[in-house]
Amino acid sequence: MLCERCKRRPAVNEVVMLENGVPVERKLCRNCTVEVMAGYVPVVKRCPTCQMTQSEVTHLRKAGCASCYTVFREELIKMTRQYQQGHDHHVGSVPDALRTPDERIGERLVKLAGELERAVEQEDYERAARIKKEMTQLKGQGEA
Amino acid sequence: METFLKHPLGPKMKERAKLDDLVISTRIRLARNLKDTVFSPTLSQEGQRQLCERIETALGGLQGFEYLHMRAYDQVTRQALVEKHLISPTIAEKDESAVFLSEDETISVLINEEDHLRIQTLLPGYQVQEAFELAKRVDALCGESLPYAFDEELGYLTTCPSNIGTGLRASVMLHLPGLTLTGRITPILVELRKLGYTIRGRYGEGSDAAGRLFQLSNQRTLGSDESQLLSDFMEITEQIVHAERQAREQLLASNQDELEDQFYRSYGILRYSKLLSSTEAIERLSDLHLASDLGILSDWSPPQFHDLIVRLQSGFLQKHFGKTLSTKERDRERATLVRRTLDHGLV
Repeated sequence: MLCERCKRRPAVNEVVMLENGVPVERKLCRNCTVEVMAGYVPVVKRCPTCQMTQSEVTHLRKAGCASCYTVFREELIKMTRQYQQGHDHHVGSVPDALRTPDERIGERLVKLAGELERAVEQEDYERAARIKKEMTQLKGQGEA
Repeated sequence: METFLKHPLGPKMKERAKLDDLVISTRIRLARNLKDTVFSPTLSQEGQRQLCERIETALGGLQGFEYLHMRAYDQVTRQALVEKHLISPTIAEKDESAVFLSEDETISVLINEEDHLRIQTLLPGYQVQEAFELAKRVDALCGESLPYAFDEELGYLTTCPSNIGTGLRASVMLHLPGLTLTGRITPILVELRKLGYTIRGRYGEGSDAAGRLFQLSNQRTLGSDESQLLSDFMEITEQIVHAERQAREQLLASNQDELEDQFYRSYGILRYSKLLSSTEAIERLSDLHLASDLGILSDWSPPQFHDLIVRLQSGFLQKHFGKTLSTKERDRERATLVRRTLDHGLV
């Protein structure tokens, strides 16, 4: 295929060019690619918070701050999968500050239910009664 | 500070614990960062200083903790803390880093590690659950006054994605002479790496680790919740412990004479040498420890072994003698210390 710009040399690159303000994909030869690119300043993706660039993140294999995980999300998730045997989803605990009171009560209830079962197994009915009382109180709070 | 350097083992570490003949110690580490402060790769020295100050204020109310800012201590002191596993080498290298250390030396909150906070707990023997519960409590306390960087999809955000999610790393230090002497350790090391666990020599890499001491830890921190990660880790640890016991039985059944010969040779070297390198000391002590586990040697306890392997490290040794020592001086003092210990404690 011939270059769509000079129509003389074979096209080797696909370049997105602005034509009358509209991005158009063109197949260009090497010479025309160089001419079109002259004066073009590449846009470096940079984290607004810590100023790390995309190439720094990929070379260091580290994030510069919490925002990097938003700005360079794709790159960092890719790295995460490499380190984490293909996993890319957290299923573990959540900081207390981010949990709603209902969630906290729910978790405590699950934990108490387990303790209650053990107490009954061990025939420690005094402890079982105490656990039951706490569960009733918590349930009351949850509904309030 | 001086109390932390007086004894190689903290008060808690001297206690006997589950499986402590094979599992020297258990460590749990949680990696945490603050959402409103840039992470370590981009944090200036001034930023590091401010972070120390801020966390010192936030956690200052913790009872029973001491705050140690690294700037105030020389390299030998820092090295001795590393040898006790109370701080990490990364912390020791930086001036603007600090640690909140509990008086019983079971909890270290490291500030300005690769992550802003590394909550670390250290217990003797095999106590994965116990160490985790302790770390979780400290985590909750820190989380009350410090805004953690957390992402709904990725969990706790860390500087390196290798720690992301739970930020949880569990590790145990294992004494595996049976597996090492029978050569069974090599395939186990390969298998463990395939399963996503890191195992490395506590002193030196590979299967001929000095003192046959190995540090086993989980690599993956994402994709399972904390209790699953821990129960997988415990299952692997228990399998290794089981394999080690089998290897020892086999050794004793088929090579008792050679084993006893080796123990007595090691005992002789420890008892009578004038110069002892740290590697040789640890290797010979490992023989003594195995001999005691197999019932050949009495008057020897796991905490004693643990005490000596820390006490004989160069940083701790120099701290003990209160001066900088050349390599040869260290080897001489180390030999003296071991001779004295054996004079008092054994046979």
